Amino acid sequence: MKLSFLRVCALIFLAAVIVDCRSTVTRTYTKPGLENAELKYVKRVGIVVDKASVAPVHADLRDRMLSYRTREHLTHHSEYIVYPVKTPGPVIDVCKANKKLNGVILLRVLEEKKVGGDLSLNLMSTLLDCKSGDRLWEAEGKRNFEMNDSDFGTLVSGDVKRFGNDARTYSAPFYRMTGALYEKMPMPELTDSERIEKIDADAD
Amino acid sequence: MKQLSIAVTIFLFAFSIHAEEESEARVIAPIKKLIGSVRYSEKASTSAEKKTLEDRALEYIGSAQMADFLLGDFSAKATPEQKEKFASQIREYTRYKAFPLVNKYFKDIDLTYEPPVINGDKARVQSSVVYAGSERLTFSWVLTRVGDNYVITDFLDEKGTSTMQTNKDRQVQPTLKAKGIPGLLATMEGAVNQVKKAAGR
Repeated sequence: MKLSFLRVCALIFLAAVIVDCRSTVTRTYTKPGLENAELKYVKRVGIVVDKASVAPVHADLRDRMLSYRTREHLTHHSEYIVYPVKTPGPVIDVCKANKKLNGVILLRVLEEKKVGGDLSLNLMSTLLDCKSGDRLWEAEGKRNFEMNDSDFGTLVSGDVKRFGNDARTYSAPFYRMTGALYEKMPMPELTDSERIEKIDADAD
Repeated sequence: MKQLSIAVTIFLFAFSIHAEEESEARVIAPIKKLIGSVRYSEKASTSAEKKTLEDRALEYIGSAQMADFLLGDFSAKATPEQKEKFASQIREYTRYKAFPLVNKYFKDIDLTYEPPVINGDKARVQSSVVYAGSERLTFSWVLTRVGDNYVITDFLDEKGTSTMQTNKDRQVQPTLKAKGIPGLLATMEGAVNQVKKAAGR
């Protein structure tokens, strides 16, 4: 069977995209038996950026943007019901203060530095069970991302209006990193009424 | 006195930030609820649940406002029943034509939202569709405030051209001038039946 030139190009492009995602995520962990045990009840999560993250120049801005972008990603691409966390803090306090939450998605920035026009980012995300404190799932990603990525005009412009001019540093890198990090995250299964709950919570 | 002035300034600043966040969430919420409802209508366990979710999605679309706008000067001549019929046809057309398209592309795309620009009872939210790693399409949602909530009443393309204005000028008004209101309703009925059939329902 002869492959047309266009088809060959498409295959190369697809392979490049797959390699691209794999090379961003450097490590994943899933608790054995998760899907038939904890994911039966860990459906409502909040997002917390770990204060043990490295502290760059714009730490507060970075943490707010990282929470925002992760939430935007998970509301659209996951089955988790993502509630806003009004007062971030240690995971145990967040779980206690938000009775609806069954879990917390903890984000920890392990490395962040500017390398020319790139942002070198090493990010770890962990899903924790509010009931037991157990680590249910974890992924780590590491890569250099272009900061002034011309592919994301509206995304950057929206973030700048929302968070200020320094948001340019993080817009595209966070978008690309969250897309890769949560691609293989195990998902809970929602009932019809939980889906309604998700629709409302996602828009909050 | 100076301290009081500083305190008031800080309070006003805090309040203005709070107010902006409030309005952003309030304006974008109907868009997100519309998309979420359409997304889950496809996964509903029964056809009744599917219809419930679609009906829920349609609540965020200002079909009455759209009908009024499209009728233009004919709005004054239409009876309340005719207006409601036309609004209902807009909802059904959206259900069978637009919702399947949203579902078809949902998994592969991302939507980004700029903070809304509010002008009187209208709000505009610029949005982009991200597909395969880059922005492919930018457009704006136009929402109209009805009571305490916003409903979606129009879309603007990248150049700012109103979809509703184009539909009004090219489709609705010529039909109204040629066939009157009963003729428009009959034409819409045919269009709804056609998209319903195409959707296999």
